[in-house]
Amino acid sequence: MRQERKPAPSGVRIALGFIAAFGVTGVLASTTQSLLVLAALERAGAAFPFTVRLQVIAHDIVAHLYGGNLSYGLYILFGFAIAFPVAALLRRWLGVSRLVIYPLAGAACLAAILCVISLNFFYNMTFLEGTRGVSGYLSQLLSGICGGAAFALIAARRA
Amino acid sequence: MRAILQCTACLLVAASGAVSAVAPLHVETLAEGLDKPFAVMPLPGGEVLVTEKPGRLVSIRERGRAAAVAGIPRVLWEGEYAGLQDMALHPRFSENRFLYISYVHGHRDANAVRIARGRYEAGRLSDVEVIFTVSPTKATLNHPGARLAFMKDETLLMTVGDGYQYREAAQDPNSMLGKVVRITDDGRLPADNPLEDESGRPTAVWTLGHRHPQGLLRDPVTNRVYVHEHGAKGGDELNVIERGKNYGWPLATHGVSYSGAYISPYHVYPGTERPLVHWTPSLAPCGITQCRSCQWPEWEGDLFIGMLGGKQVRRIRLRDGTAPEQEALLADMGARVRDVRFGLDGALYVLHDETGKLLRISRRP
Repeated sequence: MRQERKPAPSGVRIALGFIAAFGVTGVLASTTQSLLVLAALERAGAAFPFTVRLQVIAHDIVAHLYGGNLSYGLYILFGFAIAFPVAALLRRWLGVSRLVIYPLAGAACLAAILCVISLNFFYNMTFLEGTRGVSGYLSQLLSGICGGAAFALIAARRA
Repeated sequence: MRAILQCTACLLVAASGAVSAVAPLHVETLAEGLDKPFAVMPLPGGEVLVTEKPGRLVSIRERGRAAAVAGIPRVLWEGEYAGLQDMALHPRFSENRFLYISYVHGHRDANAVRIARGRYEAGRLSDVEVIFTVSPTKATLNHPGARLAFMKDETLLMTVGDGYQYREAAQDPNSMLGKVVRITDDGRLPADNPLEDESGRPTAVWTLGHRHPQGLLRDPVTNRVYVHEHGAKGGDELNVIERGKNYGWPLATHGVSYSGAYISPYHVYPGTERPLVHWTPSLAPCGITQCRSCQWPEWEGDLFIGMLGGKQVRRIRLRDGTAPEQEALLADMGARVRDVRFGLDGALYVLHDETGKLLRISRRP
């Protein structure tokens, strides 16, 4: 006889969704930034074997999420803590699909973070060197979209 | 104006490998309240010139009395960045009175470091002409570089920073960003510069691969040229630069970016030079001078570097094959040091960044 699985309580799902969103966004944002930095160095004449690339990606994920005076991970954590509840309210009012509203919230969150960091950073200087170009900036927004989608799929699905 | 602030100070704090005895230091304040001072230049006869980044050059003839020098070109000064930078005296200054100044020119979205020269007499800079402008322009005000030093052959070197946002340009031989450039004393390009453009003409580039070099010095005895530069988070460097060589930025560095991520995973990279010294964590070196017949014979030949972040004057004695001897001076003042320069009187002139103080350090009388 087939047993029906009991759905996880909403608090647990939200927590899992939040962790997944943070992980997905953090890893994607850091990795794309690392790859763009390496690509720029390659154009300047450097060469990076595959193992060195992996080392850089791993180092930068740790540095971005845990290290530094300006922890990118901390910004993402606080950003999502604001963005997702706001998205939930908007979803209720506007009746928009969760797979639209949370990814949009993730992207808006990353855009706001980059803006806030640049305002608090030195004049006209970019905190994440990979975001000096449009593609780098868009890659950060895309990372936010993916994180938002992860949250929508895990936390906001119907019980 | 406030009279002399005098303190006899034995303000040495031992750093790595320091072995020298505590030297007697007599500190007096020549001026206070200078507005974002950047460079100090003691002149023959006791007069001292100081550049202020907002665009003023001041002359200090008497303790506590600073007078603005007329004739300074308009500079780009915005948001505490850029502005009037360094100055250098022509090697035959006593004959021709040529004073060279470097400054940022243009506007926020397209600016570049320029060198102008004029004849400095009686508190005025006259016959001012722009002799060189860095290209390409940049859309940032950070990392101008702009330190000046004359070579023995009377050509002029200037450091050019990478503009922060353009760090890979430091490896581009067609860009002057992130380079040390070399020009003649009237702004032409010397035929023996190491690189040529596509049409076979010499470019201004003398060395490549610099980030934000804020110290440039030629040793008059050995003719070695020293350059130090800011790293990002760590990786400040002191180098001896040689014609045509590549000093690595951003392919190799001991620093990481402000986010903590790698700038490059390499500390050394084939084809680039290793630094003589690197400071990690950063001390933010700014200004460099050398004791040659200064008031402390025991320091003959030693380098002295101002430290903004480290808030000290760093004495460095280079030793072949071993780590250099380093000693922190004036550290207990807790002030960011923007520039240092020995005068003809053998005293050390020190410029404090935030307080706008100009100090004269001499041996205890």
